[in-house]
Amino acid sequence: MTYTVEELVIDDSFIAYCTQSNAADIARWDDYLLKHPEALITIEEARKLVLGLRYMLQKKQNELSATDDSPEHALYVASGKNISSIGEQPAHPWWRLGWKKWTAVAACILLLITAGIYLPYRPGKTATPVSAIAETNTGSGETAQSQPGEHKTIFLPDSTKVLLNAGSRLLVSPTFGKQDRNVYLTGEALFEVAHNKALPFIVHVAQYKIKAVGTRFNVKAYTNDRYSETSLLEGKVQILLPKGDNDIIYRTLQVNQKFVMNIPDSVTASVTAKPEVMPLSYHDSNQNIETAWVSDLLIFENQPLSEIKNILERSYNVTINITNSDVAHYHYTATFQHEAIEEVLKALQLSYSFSYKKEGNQITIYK
Amino acid sequence: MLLIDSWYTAFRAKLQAIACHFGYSVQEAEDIVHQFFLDLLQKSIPDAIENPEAWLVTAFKRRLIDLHRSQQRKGNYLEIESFNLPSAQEIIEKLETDTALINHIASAYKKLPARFRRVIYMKYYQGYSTEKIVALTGLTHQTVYNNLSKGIQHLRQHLKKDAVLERLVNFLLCLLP
Repeated sequence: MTYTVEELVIDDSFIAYCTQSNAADIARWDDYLLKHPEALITIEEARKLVLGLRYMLQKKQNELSATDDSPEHALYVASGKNISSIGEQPAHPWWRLGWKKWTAVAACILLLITAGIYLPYRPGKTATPVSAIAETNTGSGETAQSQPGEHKTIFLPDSTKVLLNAGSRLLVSPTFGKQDRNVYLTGEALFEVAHNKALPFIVHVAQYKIKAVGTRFNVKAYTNDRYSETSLLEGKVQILLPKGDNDIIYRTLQVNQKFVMNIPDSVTASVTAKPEVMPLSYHDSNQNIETAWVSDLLIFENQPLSEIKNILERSYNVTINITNSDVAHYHYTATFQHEAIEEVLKALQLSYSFSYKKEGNQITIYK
Repeated sequence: MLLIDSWYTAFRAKLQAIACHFGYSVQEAEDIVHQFFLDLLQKSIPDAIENPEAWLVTAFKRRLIDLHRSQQRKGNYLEIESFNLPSAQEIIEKLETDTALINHIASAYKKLPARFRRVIYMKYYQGYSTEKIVALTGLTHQTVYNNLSKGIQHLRQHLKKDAVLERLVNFLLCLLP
């Protein structure tokens, strides 16, 4: 039998042959080439791919694994866009970026036109995610709140822009802009902080604080999620953890890193809080998973339905009850944008079969 | 002598495959390679050959061109001359010096869905075997294999697509006044 390029590239023995690390493997593949000289070009392409991939991953490891803290999580790439802006020249000439951008713009216009024709004739659907964004100004001492299924854009007195995800609440300190720039968040928000070195901007969430001067970052701190996360997109932020009456600087995040802290189980107290820093996740070269919600994108990457449930509840203003633990623990990978909740559930059913019934805003999932 | 022996062991298969690539049968190719190494033993080899693989392939290509001429074989011998098969060392040197190439591979890699990147990262960066990845991720052997295989397939498609686009745009730019 002869091997394809893919079969060769993923074969452990072939990799050892390419890296010349094992005499037995070298002999094996030399022997293969003697018997199948017609495989020369395939072997050479596979060899280039193996060496290219290994070298690229080593060379770009600073973009791949943020720290040594969590090697098991250091699996995802950071965006080339932000990193190349730090002193590195873009690898592609301007026309290529332009071409891609124009294609994307053309595709978006086409989509909008299609949607414009199609949507008015669509029969009425229930529980679609609300994409209309309300814009408000929130003053010192006030509280801004978004309902489930609602995004809200808030401008603070210092012209910091905050985009609140569904079911979130932001309390602004009474002395905001005068003595401090403290805000208190429950839920998820993307901050674009106005620059002010004299008054650092501090976001307080349940277990820690995020201190910034002028930067863009996403904070996710829902009370019913297992993890709280802070993802840095631009600038620098410090993560402050409480120690006694004071705060200590746990870590200064770099662009494309996120700080993750699991929420200890308050009932059993079996799991203790464990802070970690890891790279941001990218769905593809352009779409960052942590901030996908801003574009009304729901991206699930190998997540159990028990976690997906919380996101769906917030996005669609529904309550979901999963009665079967097999279904609750099944891991799904899927992407949705502007789909009705019924369409989302039907798509998930295709991957792992379950039944559901919907009464008003109550959804029950069973096997 | 010892040096040529070790070269014979290391590169015989490759040279034989190159001869087959240019239309010789397996038996003919084997004879050509044997004769090539026998002749090498008679010659004085330069002292410092930094990249034996590339040196041998080039010398062997010249041998094939000589044979081609003497046997008046059909086809153009320039095909042999322009046949480019970089040695392992040349591939690595190219990777070390060509930032655009690394960015090109990196951008193709970044376009892969996370589940593919995850296993590819574990295999080619962390150096884990497929079995070890199965143990670490808790995924089935078939899933890990499929993700690796699909990941490499997508990666090749991205690399090819980008190369074709680049050539097309270069061509169009050439047409511009």
